Amino acid sequence: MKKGFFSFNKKKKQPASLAGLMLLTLLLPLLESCLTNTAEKSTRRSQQGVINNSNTVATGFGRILQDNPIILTGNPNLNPGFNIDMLLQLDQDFIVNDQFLSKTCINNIASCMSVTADQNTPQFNSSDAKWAYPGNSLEFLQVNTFGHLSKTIDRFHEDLQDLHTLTWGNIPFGPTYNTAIPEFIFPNNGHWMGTSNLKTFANCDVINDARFDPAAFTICLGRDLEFDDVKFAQDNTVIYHEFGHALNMIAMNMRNNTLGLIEKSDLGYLFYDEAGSIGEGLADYASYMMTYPQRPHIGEWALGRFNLQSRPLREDDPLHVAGLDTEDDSRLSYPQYLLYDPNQPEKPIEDVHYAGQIISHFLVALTEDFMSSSYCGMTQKLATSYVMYMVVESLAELGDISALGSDNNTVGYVNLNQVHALEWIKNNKPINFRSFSQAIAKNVNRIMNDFGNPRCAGGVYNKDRLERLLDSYGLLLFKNYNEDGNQEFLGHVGGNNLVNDTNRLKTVLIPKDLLMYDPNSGASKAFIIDGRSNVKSAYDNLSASGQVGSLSSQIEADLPFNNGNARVSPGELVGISLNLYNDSNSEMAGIQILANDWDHVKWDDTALPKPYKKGKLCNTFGDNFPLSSEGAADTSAEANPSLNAGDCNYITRDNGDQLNEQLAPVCFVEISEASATKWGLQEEFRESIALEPSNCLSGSSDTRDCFIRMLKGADQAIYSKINPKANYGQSIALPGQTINFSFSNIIFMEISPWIPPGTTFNCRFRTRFSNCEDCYNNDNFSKDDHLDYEFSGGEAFKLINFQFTVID
Amino acid sequence: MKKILFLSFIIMLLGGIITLQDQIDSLISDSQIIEEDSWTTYEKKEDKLVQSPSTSKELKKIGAEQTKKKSLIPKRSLSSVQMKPKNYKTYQGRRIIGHIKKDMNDINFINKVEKTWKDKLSEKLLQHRDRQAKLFIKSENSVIKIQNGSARYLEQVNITFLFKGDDSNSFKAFVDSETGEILNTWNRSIHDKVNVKAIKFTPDGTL
Repeated sequence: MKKGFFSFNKKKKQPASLAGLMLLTLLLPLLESCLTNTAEKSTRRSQQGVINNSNTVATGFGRILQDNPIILTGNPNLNPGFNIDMLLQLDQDFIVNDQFLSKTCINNIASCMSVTADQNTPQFNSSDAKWAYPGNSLEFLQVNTFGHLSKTIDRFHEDLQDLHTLTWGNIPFGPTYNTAIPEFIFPNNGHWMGTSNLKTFANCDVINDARFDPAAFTICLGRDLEFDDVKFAQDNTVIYHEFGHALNMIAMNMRNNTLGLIEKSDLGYLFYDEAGSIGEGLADYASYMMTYPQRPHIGEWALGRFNLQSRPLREDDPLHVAGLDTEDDSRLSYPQYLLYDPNQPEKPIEDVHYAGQIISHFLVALTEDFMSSSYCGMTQKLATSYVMYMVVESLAELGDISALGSDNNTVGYVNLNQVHALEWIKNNKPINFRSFSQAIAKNVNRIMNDFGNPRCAGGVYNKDRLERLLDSYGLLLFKNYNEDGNQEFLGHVGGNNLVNDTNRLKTVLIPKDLLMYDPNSGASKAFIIDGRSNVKSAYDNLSASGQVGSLSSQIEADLPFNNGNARVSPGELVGISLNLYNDSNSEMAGIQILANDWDHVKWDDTALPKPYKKGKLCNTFGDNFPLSSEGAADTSAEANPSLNAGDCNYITRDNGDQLNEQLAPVCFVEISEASATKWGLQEEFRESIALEPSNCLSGSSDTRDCFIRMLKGADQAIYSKINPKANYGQSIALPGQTINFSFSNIIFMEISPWIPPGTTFNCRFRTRFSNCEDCYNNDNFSKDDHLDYEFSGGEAFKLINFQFTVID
Repeated sequence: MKKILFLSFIIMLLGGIITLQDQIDSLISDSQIIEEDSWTTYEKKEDKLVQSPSTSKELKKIGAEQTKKKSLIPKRSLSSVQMKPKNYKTYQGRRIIGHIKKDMNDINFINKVEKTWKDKLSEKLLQHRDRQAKLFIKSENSVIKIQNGSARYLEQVNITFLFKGDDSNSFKAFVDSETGEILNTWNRSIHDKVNVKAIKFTPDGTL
């Protein structure tokens, strides 16, 4: 026998052993696989639940909870410390074919999402890429989080791809409507936040909190206050909700990211505003979208079991009060249920999560219409996908900072222009229940009411049905679908799809003149917050959250001049909340008080370079204030409306950037002259008392707000609703309760230390509300929406003058 | 016997190489180089503001992006085809935003760039804060914003406040490159707090 490495010496006594060893070596991998398969076949529930370990799953697989523990056990009184393994199913769930919990998204975004236990712990390594761990372990918690997030991301991207095909895939004709979805969304990673990694922390060290951080692009899932082992990440609906916030962010900035814009739009800017409420409702809907079969409730375990804060998504939920129903006349409607917490219905609470329920319930109802055999007969998956198409289209348009709203539109279709788009989204034309409902309705019509592309059981989803459904939720707040957008020259051109007024039975629109100061005898004009401790705390919170910027260098940061005397004094940072009253017989909602600069001054020194400093106040806003004798601008030679930039009857087209136009601060000052007083600009007053420009609140570079300056970011206030024949305080507090205000109810003003005591100011605030009859539409153009530039002026608003005298 | 030992040795060697490769891969994944000069930590200590380059431990706590070390074993990845090239102009190495002008040389700048802008920003944010917090500031971009015919140097930053535990607030901002003043913010944290009473203010009086 030829001798070689593998030749056998006949004289050796262990050829069988050697052969056996070689055979074993060769067969070992096969044996392992066989063992695994055998293990799979014999995976069983022991008395301790499913045996969830590497031996019982294939590579890339693991097990996650199919729903939250309350649902899986059917026990609403489930106590903490239970054995999670008892809730696992035998079937395996695909997790990831990798050693780490990191996901790759479409368009090869490597590591688009990853999960760790918390911020301090690196990713744990599953060397065999198997993800089966004991149910009560930290590893399981991370795998559970990853599994649910991964499914949601896949679903979101699948829907986006389908929507892209539905629009841009209509080759060679292109989209059948002006879709907000960018044509090149995927190559430019507009379907994600670029190539960012959504880092998720399954066991964050926060109590009774879950958080989405857009700046860091992280999700933090905390735990219960009382029970350490009750983790938010055990509740899939909470995971879906938090990703829902990320989804909102991506949708709002889809166009901004595709175009590479730096700044981003947010869905909500104040502690309470309607945009934030819509965001919460959408995040709740994300949970409904992902649970199967559809489960219209969120947070039974993490929010509901120990905190009584779970939320229903449909009116027939047992948690709801009697009287709510899925019949059209019994819906969770706006604004009636804005302050409604189903867990404590007797207590009105102004909170975005409760207000958001109106949106979540509406979207569920819309989905169920699409599923109903009476309408479209779709499966749940298809119906929720279609609703998501409409949501994404709406957010992508409303959040567009490029002001295009679509690849095929002209700049200004939405949000005025790119320079001022964020000002529109934040202040001048923020997303509210009206604009969101209008956008959703427009997109429902475009996609589901297209006779050329029948998508509803071979037919279309009727416009009247849509309007009646919206109306049943009090959301038929718009008069036309505004397909022509808001651009200066094109906003009134083209067909105008009008709402059928006979469909508006429940939604009530109120004339803006019925919003006023409380007319009752002895009622005050405003509430003042100027106590040092309170205002300092408010400013600390507002600046730490990024809502407001820096104080003027003229205001000492420690606020030593804040004296709590409920008067406006020099050197103070003062919070004011106007005592507004609803003089109608219906609820008024989404009241916004704007204190930002606007176009209400006629400038005299336009021959000089900007900033203009000399001018007179316009009195062309219906209230004839101030009088000509009180210093108002002369408009006798002006046409109305005027086409001449600079006139009072002309509204700036680009928020004050064009020649002869410039915005002015809301506050002006009473100036004493030889024989009379007049109302004049702050700059004029500065000159009259010979104050150096460097002593102005904005410094010498801008003396227009020399003495009273609104704190940017806190230059608007929102009231959720005002009851009929009542003021806001009476609407938000129970009888006998002290009226307290949240951050979003308060406008903060910086008061210059240089103001001579006894000086009187008037601040001309612009106000409006979401269910306003005459704030949004131009009856001269068949009820078409006002063009965007008009929101630089005063016509679309109700003006409220707030006068005060500065005392020492 | 010798052959059995030799075979066993080969098997063990192969096993060792596989294990070592796993550890190398793990090491590469775990090891990270922090661009410590782009994140700065600010803290108030005994009424004084103290600053330092952010450590990797601190950055993990706030979930900050970290730059990974180049792999010793090159990884293949598909190229990302950009159908629409990003189109923006620059001046002095800064991206221009706002009303883009063709000729930047005759534009009026209303501020200048100061190296101390970050310190000024931190002072504004921390100096009189009562609630104990660490502040993290990361420079992300330097831009020039043009509006009303004037230009302003701005810094785009990522700001994070870290409170007790893992409680934090973060946001992005445009900051004046001279004064450190915050001009605009976006991407603020969204908290879903449960059973936490909202902060409310009782008025000091009425007017």
